Amino acid sequence: MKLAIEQLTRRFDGIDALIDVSCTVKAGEILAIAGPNGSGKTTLLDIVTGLTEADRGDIFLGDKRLIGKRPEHIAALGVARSFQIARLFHGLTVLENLIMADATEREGLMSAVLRGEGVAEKRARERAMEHLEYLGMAAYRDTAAAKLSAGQMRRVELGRLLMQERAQLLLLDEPTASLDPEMTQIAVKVIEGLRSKGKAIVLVEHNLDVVHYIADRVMVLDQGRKMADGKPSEVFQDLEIQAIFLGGGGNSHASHR
Amino acid sequence: MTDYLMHLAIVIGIYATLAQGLNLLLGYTGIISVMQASLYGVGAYISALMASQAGVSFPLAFASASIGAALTGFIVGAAITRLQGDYLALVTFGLAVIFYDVFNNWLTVTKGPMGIPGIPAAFETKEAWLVFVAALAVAALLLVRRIDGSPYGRLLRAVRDDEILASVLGRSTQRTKTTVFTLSAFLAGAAGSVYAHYITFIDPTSFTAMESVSLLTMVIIGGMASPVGPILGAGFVVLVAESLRFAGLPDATAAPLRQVLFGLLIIVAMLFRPQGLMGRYRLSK
Ligand SMILES: Nc1ncnc2c1ncn2[C@@H]1O[C@H](COP(=O)(O)OP(=O)(O)OP(=O)(O)O)[C@@H](O)[C@H]1O
Ligand SMILES: [Mg+2]
Repeated sequence: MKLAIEQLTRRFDGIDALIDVSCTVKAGEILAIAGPNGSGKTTLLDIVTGLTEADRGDIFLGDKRLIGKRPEHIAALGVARSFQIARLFHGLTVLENLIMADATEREGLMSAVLRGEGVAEKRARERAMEHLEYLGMAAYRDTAAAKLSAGQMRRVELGRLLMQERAQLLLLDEPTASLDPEMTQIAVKVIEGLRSKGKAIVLVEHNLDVVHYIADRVMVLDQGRKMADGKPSEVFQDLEIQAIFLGGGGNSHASHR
Repeated sequence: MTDYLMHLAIVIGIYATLAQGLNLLLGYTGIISVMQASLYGVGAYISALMASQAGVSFPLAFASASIGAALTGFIVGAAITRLQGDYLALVTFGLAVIFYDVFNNWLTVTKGPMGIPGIPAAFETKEAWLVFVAALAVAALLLVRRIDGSPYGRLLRAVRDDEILASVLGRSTQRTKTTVFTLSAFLAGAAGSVYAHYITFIDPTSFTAMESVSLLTMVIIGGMASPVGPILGAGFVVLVAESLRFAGLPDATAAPLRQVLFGLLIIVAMLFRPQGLMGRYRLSK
């Protein structure tokens, strides 16, 4: 499914977080968003997922309008995301966190009281364990998420994305932050794998090496404005764009906050 | 003497059922409600009125009280669960005051402060009562244990941890909170009915916000999100209150003293044992 963002605008008491930003992402494509701190990248993801309201603009996933819908409805239309600071259910175990990313239909009160553990639940647990093995987190299956390191939380977030098989649009907010080089490679592989499954992917990324390597296109934001949109190799040739990353308050390789 | 001990056990059983419902709200879902005693009151009044005015049998009055309280919980829950955290707690406090005013002032129905005497007892002997109340408390325990291990229970704990993340993963936190509010009201209504038919007299003073605070104390002391916690908590709180009576204090002193003591217990628990006796969670996030 294709994501189309049209003239998105959002102001926070005096600060223009986004000004007239438009872009599209097709199924099987990775659009990276790069830009200095405070350029509006996270705000864009927050608006698409319904966590923040836009002042103006429109968003379509396929033929469905996302603007004005609640987060859970947007999720039900096939949108999944990860967060800049890895976000997990802290009191749930690693395994439970992954299963929470699976289908929701067996969570009714009545099925809790009347039925035992269903096939779907068992299947979800098996799938979750496969992903945890792959991400090197199987040993932590019963560990409370609160006890994990930042890097481990990232891995669990990746696992959660892998669980969301029905999602068609993935919004990733700096998924490689706080990962070591080896784990960054695994994350890149995971993201490539998701692309090859035909998902549309928006990747907010500070690590420009990752952007060069994996993104089909990159959109550069600066102070809420779209400065460029195109192939990474071409976009980063532009001296003005280079200046944004060298001088514009952001540091392309550091992970922030 | 054994009569007295059985009486204590029955009271503990009633409170354990009531606290179990609050455990679902506070322990599992992280909702602080100070209107649990109000829903308990709704159950008690429904049951008392049906039995003493309309001559309805206990089983039917009991069922009606549970369902009536659940319905009340559902309506209230649907209206207020879009609020979060402190705001939600504050609104339940406002509602507790309103419910109390209704119990106290709707004279034609509730008889106000005079209360409703002569509610027919459901069982003749203390032994029979004890068996019934124990069965009820065990049923509530099994229900919560069942929920604890189920996907629904996991959802409750997830909503407790992070409502925003839950919504991004496709869960309606409002719907989840409304169902758990309804279920906890159902248990409160059942306990209210039993209380009414056991004591055979009810008046508004049993259904105050302060009473809800005692219930919160039970859940916190017993341990949040632990199925056996509320039983221990109920036992502890009832026995502490009872030992104050043995200290020979007049009621006018004992009642406020008890409240101060419960307040202190909550503070001590938060400082030194935030997870309570059995709990899985701490009170603060
Ligand atoms: N809830 C909010 N209230 C007020 N200002 C906000 C809010 N959210 C974001 N902003 C402001 O909007 C601007 C864009 O923020 P945003 O988080 O989208 O930037 P970003 O590109 O994700 O930055 P970073 O690289 O640091 O993550 C910033 O100036 C930020 O301070
Ligand atoms: Mg950001």
